[in-house]
Amino acid sequence: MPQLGAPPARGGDEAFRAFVEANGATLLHAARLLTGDHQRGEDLVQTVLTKVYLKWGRIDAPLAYARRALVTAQIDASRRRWWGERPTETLPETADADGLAPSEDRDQLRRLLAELNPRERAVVVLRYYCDLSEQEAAAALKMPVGTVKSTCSRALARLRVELTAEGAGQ
Amino acid sequence: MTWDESELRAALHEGEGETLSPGHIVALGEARLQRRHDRIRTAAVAVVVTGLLGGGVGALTQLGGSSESASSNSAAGAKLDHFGGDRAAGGSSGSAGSSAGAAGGNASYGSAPQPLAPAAGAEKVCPAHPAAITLPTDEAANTTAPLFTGKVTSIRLCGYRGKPDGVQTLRAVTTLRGAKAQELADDVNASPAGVRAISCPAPRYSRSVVLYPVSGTTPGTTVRLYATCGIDVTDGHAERLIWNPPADLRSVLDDLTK
Repeated sequence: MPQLGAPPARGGDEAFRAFVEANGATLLHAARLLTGDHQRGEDLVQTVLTKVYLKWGRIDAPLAYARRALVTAQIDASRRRWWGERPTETLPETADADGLAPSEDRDQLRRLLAELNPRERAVVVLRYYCDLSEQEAAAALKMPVGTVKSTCSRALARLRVELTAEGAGQ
Repeated sequence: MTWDESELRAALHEGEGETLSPGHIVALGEARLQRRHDRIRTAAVAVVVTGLLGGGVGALTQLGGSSESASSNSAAGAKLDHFGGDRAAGGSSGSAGSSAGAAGGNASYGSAPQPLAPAAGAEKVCPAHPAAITLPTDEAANTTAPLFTGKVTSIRLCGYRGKPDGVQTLRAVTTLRGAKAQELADDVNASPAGVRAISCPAPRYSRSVVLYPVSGTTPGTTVRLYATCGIDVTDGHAERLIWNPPADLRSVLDDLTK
């Protein structure tokens, strides 16, 4: 997990630009993990950062706000039929920052992550990508800590089972 | 394949590093702000336009209502000013009727199409209670003499209605002008003397209208009209019993004494 900088001091566009430069990459990657889709991840993070921009002078913790908006928007979007999950046989090939194709392990994990339900996926991303504590994840998801724990435990168990099954099948 | 949480973390971090353009996000935000401002401006314009249209329609409706009211009374060329009870026109009540009375009764009755109008002050102001003009009791009275003389240019009509104690108070005022005033005068003058109603269940003299005619600029003889079972008209000397006014004028008289 990259060390995320503290929210920049308020001060208009410049402060917001600094915030995006410091946290944009992490938020974009989180969005891609949450959506399971390269392009939809970009759309999601743009939408969320636009919201942050519009509320820039009124939010105390922009990064926490952005994370919360990210998971909320993704969970809400997954509830809509026209924006719901669209499972595909193969993940789209997307260029990485280094221009290399995704590794086999990562591809496998991403695919399994995409098979989790949106809430489970959000918990995993917040806990293991954003490095949030259970309390912070609970606050971001607006759910009890106990629910975060159980959801996380269930999600990890599913990932393990699937990975083990796939490993055994190979 | 087996893994632990640290491997999960590492796997999740793979592929990150692609950056976002802050300028692009700011541009998106600015565009959204612009759209929001446009919507607010559009809504504000819509509200203003709706308000103006509403006001215009209201004004037109009011004008329509006035002309309708005028036309409903157009046969009599009259528009009524109503009074609540004991208020006397021309007094300190400040009503339209009183100001009209003080000004000679011209301004408030502009709906009448007839151009003729008496000079200011020629018409009587309606008093709070009707003028004491009673039907003559003398059988030998000249009952067929004209009640209105000369060319009547306007008649101010003051309507009264009696209270349970028998006292009549001013209810409404109107003025007939020109041809309509002359028509009323001619119709009364031409009506037969009639006969007194023998049996009348209604309270006697519960309603009355006092008429102040003007010929040119000269006030004529005040005439009082009693409405009970029929309409009796007198100036205290001559009389017309059970006068049957034209329907449009009857409705005006009814309105005056409601």
